[in-house]
Amino acid sequence: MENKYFFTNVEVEDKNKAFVELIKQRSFEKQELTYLLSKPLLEFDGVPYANGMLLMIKGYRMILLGFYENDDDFNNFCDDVQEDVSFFITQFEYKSRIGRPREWWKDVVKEKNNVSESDLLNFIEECKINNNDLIRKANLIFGLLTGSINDNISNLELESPKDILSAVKNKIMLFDADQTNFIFGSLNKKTILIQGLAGTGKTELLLHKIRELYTAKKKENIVAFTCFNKVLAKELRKRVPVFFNSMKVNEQIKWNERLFLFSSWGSSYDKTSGFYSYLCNYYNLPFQGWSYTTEFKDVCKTLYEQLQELKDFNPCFDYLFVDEGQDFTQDFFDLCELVTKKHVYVAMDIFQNVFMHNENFSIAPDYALSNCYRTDPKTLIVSHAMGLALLEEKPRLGWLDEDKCSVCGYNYCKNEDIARISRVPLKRFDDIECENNNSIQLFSLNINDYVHKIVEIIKLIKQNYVNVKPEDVAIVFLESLKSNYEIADKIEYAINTEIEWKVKKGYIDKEKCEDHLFLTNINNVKGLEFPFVICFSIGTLPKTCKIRNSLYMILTRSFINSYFIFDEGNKDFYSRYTNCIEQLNENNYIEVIIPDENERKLMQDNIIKSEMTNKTTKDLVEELLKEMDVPKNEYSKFHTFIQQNYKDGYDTDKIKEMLEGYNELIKRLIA
Amino acid sequence: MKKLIFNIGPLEIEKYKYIKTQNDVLLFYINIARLFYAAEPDKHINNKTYAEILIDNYSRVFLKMSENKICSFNFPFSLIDDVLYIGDIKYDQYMLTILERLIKDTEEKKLPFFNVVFEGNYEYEFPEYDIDQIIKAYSYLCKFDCGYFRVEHDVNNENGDYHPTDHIDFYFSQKNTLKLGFSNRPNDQMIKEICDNSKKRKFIKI
Repeated sequence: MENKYFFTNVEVEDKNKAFVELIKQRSFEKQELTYLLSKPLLEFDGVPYANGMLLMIKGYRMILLGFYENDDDFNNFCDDVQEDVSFFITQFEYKSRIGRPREWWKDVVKEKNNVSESDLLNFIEECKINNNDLIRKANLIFGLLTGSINDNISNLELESPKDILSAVKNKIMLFDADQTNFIFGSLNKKTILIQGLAGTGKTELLLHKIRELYTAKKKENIVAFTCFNKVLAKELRKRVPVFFNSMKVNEQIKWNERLFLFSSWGSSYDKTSGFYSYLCNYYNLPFQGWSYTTEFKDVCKTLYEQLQELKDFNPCFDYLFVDEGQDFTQDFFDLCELVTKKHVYVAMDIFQNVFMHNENFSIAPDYALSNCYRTDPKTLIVSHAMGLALLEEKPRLGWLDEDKCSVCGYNYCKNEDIARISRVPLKRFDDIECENNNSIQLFSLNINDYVHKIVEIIKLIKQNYVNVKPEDVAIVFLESLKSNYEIADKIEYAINTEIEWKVKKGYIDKEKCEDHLFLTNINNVKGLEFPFVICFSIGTLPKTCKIRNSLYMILTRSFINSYFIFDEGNKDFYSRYTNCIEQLNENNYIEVIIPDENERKLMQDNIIKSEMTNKTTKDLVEELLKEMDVPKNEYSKFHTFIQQNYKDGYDTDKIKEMLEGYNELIKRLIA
Repeated sequence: MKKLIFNIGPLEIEKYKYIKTQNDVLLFYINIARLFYAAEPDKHINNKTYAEILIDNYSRVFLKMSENKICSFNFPFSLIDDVLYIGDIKYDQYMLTILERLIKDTEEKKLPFFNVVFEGNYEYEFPEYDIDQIIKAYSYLCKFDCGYFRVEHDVNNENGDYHPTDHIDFYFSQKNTLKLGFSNRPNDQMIKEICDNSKKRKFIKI
């Protein structure tokens, strides 16, 4: 039985077997995060405790359990633990914040030697803490011993937060069992897949794993980290030094020597600007940029083939990390495996994979993270529903069956052809009750009222959260249309003048910035997170995989509230999802019609059709010309025609219409 | 004379604080064009800080940056049906966005503009990106004399005849800028009249 509430590094022996089982069983029944350790998880100079264990349960005092014959030995064990805790407190500079262990040891720790099995559970109950401030202190200690180091300790508020925004900003991170397994476990396979919904902490985990590998003693591992999105790459590049610093990594980061962090493609002028550009430079092979005929998967494929032909080929990285893996195709992953000596770690969003029929993504993940610590559960459910068009006319866009729902942390209850879907309740920010009935709000408006509405929302946020800062808010527009850039400029001006906040535009500056609200298109928001997210869209909301996937991705970026503003013409959409939110607020679940076989087939066909977006425009044009029975020797004039006249993004139907029209015209002129 | 007044706040003014390179001049043009599209013009100046676009026998922006500072530069666009043009190129917000991104990328990557244009895959992010139009738009903006000058009443840095309290700075680059002192503090209207070719000229008494 899989138990995501329990983690242990204790070697099970006869003398402790029954205890370990009992504690494991308890964690599962109570659904309480429980660590049972024979030594701290981070590397340190000490040795495992011979006959003692540390039992840490969230919300309880740390329990030192001993199996010693005499009290002196047990007392020595307790002293050793205190010394080790003291070592970590000093190393990670917690002392100035929480004081010396002797000052609070008795408040946070209980010691027990030779407790009987029958008394154990009662003893655990006696250790429950009823004071939120003390729980926070205990969590900080648990974090030190389990490797969840809080990098914001110097400005973390130790007292229990008073509102959701302070809870978000002062969250004490404590890895759950799935996350701890990923960081401290190892698997004997080349590519290791970690899947989780948006907000399950994938990126944070990758950073911890990078630190583990980069600082591994007696090894000089060469580690690379890449993702498709340039803003995310920039953000990570800023985060890594801060993170390493907070993790007290004493050695200086050898950027572009032992640690690489880049977006996936890069530029030929700067070899370290991208994963691909670095490889081209490293192996002295030609760099290819984007064009009408070339996409990223093509350049990966070509490079892979060229590398395979190289004599004396050697991988250039020991470990490679890929974030937002769903943005890539198999050609990229083949290349990753080839250039990496040991492991490729790929993190991807399980939900976004629903939109792919690629066999690579149907492989079961090695680590599945089901707890979403960022997004409000209600926002998550509604975003899923919108993303898959679950409440709309058939055929809808996709379906999560019972197994997948469970992996995503959903409860799924079937009643004939209706599925009742809800999320397992989760305290995301310690003990603050932060779920609210307004976590996702929809506004159906006339386009002329968008700017005013957005300003009004921000004013309301400022009113409700006095500590809110500009960088806590992101505004994202859904479609890459000219008119959205016009609205964005108006929004910037209004925010500058009416709110007096500075604005950073993701599509221009490619980075988030302190004291600036983040305003961006869809391309620059993946992987980022904000307390508040405002999304706007113009025109009809199409039921396409691409748009709905983007919508899901945007709305799930928020910790507290997501606001979705769209055109008043989408009456049906507004009414369906407003009802959905009401149902969710009332019952904590939504009811959805389970697709029949026929609809499932249509869903799959649509996914395959939408995957044509992975093809180049040239590929698509040729496929359509083939369908139209145009002779191959005439293809070139159609390519020229589309290249010169088609500027509207990737729209199969429109390209088809243009090709047919052009073909008609040529035929008529010749006739 | 066409006159457009925008009473603007400190955050808008901040966008015109630094001028060191030709790219900064281009960003000034882009920012003023953005302001033109995003803000409703005001009837009167009623702010300590404002932008005033004057289109007459000359075409200039006057930017009152603080009580003691006003700067001015060329307004390179023609205004046709509420849209800004230079020649056959329409400078709408989409075009301005792409230009700004490219200019900032040239700064960041320390590469010439044309390398950035041909090298980056901007079509991915901006589906309506038209490379020929972008190059034209950039070239048109570059061909103008920016006509930059700044008039200051600067008590804090006053240093006799070397840095008169009231002065005008012409040009922006460190090696070319030059300063002329005023014996009295000029008012804003007088500064605007200096640029008006139809008005009688001011004289420097030597």
